[in-house]
Amino acid sequence: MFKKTENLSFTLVETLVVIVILGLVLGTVYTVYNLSQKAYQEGEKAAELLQNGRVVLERITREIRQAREMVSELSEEEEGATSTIVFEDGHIGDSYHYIHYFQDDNLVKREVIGYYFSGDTEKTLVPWDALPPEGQSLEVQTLEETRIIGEYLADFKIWGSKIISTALILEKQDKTLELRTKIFARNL
Amino acid sequence: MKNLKNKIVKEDKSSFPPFAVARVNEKGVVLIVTFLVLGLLLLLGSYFLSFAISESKISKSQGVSLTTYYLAEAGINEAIWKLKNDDSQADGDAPWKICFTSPADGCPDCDVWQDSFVRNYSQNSTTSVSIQNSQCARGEIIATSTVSLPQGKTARRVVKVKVLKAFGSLTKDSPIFAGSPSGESTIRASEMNVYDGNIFSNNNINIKFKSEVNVYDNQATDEQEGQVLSVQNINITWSVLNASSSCAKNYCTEEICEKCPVDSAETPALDFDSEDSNSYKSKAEKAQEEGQCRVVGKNSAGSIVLTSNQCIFNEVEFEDLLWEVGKNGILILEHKTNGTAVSTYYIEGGINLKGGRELEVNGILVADETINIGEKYKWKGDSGFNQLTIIDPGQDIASGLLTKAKMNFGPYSSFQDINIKGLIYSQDEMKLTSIPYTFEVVGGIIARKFSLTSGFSPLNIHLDNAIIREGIWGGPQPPGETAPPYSPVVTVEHWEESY
Repeated sequence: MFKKTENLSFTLVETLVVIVILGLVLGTVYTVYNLSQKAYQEGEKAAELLQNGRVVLERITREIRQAREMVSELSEEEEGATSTIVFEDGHIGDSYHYIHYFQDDNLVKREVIGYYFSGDTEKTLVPWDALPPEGQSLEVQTLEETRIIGEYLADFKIWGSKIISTALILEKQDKTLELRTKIFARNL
Repeated sequence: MKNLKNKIVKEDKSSFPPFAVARVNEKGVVLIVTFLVLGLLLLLGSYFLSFAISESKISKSQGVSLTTYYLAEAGINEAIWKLKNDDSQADGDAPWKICFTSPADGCPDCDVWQDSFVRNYSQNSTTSVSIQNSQCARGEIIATSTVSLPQGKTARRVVKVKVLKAFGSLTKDSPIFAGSPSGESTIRASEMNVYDGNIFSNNNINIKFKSEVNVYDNQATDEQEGQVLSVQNINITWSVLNASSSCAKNYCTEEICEKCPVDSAETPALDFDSEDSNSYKSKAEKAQEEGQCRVVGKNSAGSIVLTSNQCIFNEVEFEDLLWEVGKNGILILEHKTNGTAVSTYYIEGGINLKGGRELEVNGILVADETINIGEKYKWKGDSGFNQLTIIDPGQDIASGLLTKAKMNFGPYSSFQDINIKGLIYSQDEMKLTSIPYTFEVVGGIIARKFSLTSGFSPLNIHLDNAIIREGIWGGPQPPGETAPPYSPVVTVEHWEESY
């Protein structure tokens, strides 16, 4: 009997010791892994918000800076801010092309639109405030299809008629990023 | 068990401790291997953890850095906007637009003017902006944005920008400026090309008899040039006008009609002969005292036949010099650079270039009375076509031909293309009639009224606001207390960022 025990099995104590040690080691490894995952995801989220915020703001500021004419009526104060803006593209040669930025749920979208008189089959572009001939109306056509510029949008505000202010709040799960700036539109 | 232990101890007592002996006999290495593997995993895990944590920290700090960057940029944008537009104290601070360029209430000296403002965007983010002028219309804006972080830390971004407003145009960007409200500008049987600028008349502009007038915009500037501007009417008869836009009572380009006709503008005043040290006569006197003039006359063979160190001549003296160089001779008014006074030539009376003479002016030539270039073919026994050349010495020195009275270019005014790099200024009428060759002007023509009957030889005129200013001011800066006009454009000369 003694001989049997010696060769074929561990004692209960030995087994328990092994299980406890293994449990401790695995627990530590799991904790480390879990923390790493969380930290990595946090970093990823922050980087993603950052990238989205940067792209949206860079694009909007650059295009407003060179805008030829502002179509949207913007409030002087942040309280009355809107989340949509339309202005005339300032690129030379692109007359009467109007850029429209707007919030669509959690996305920032951009499109280029143009106006024409309903009676004009060639859809010649006219200014946004052009008076249509009698019996016709001013219609809108899309010149550049709507594209997503940024995601994770929680809030998008534009206000100010002299110097244009923007606030962009981006949110992904529990992480938020708020970016604010002011734009001096040189050609307005 | 006891027996076994005794047995082992007995067998190996001499060389092994009891514990080690027990392991050897069990033969297992699994636990050791397990520890090694798990240890390795732990090591890798902790490396990954520290890597991920530092990544996360970098992302966070980048986020804050971006926030501060945009806030600082907002400060700079607002400051530049204020320099361009803020002309009231209603917003609680000085009128930046005025204080930047000239003295005003609360900012008596624009040379050293400084101001600042602070904008709070939220509880923990702020931008403070300050401006310090180094001279009038030139200063440095510093925008510092701060975002408070947990544990008393702050993130900061500083943007420094040097800005200036350049001198504006004295002639509404017009290289042809007719300033009299009573004198019409008339272009007959002519070809005229105006580059980079406008045509301005305080009265009518008449384009007649198969004329072609082309006025071109300067694509390199934000301003819209290539305009034909009249305070009264633009009358086109049997002629062609090509311009970016036109603006008059009876004639205007659609987009700008509501702003037409343009406001009247006065001819920029020029000090010919007052007692003031900035008048052209005083400058010529000073140059003469300091020996800063040299007139050289060469005959048709190129030999020097006369020299003079005079800067001021009366009409007869100057005519004698022209006579002495003979037919096909050249009279050169040189520019000397080795003194404080600027070479300035002043004629008390008129100038008559006739009888086949050539006149080369390096810098500026001013006359009290009428200047006639090539009005006559003959002069006593001599006869021939004449030639005038004006050379800009550069270095912000004035160049041109100026008169208190009329200026006429006649049918014998040149035997080859005329090149003038300077200001042509006539306090009375400026008339170009039957010019034989191409007439090239870089600078501008300012007159009370302007008449061109070129006989289809082209008049090409290129706007150079600096040359016009130098001619009127007598140098790069306005004389005395004259308030210079500044361009409405704020130019960013330098941009730097720091943390």
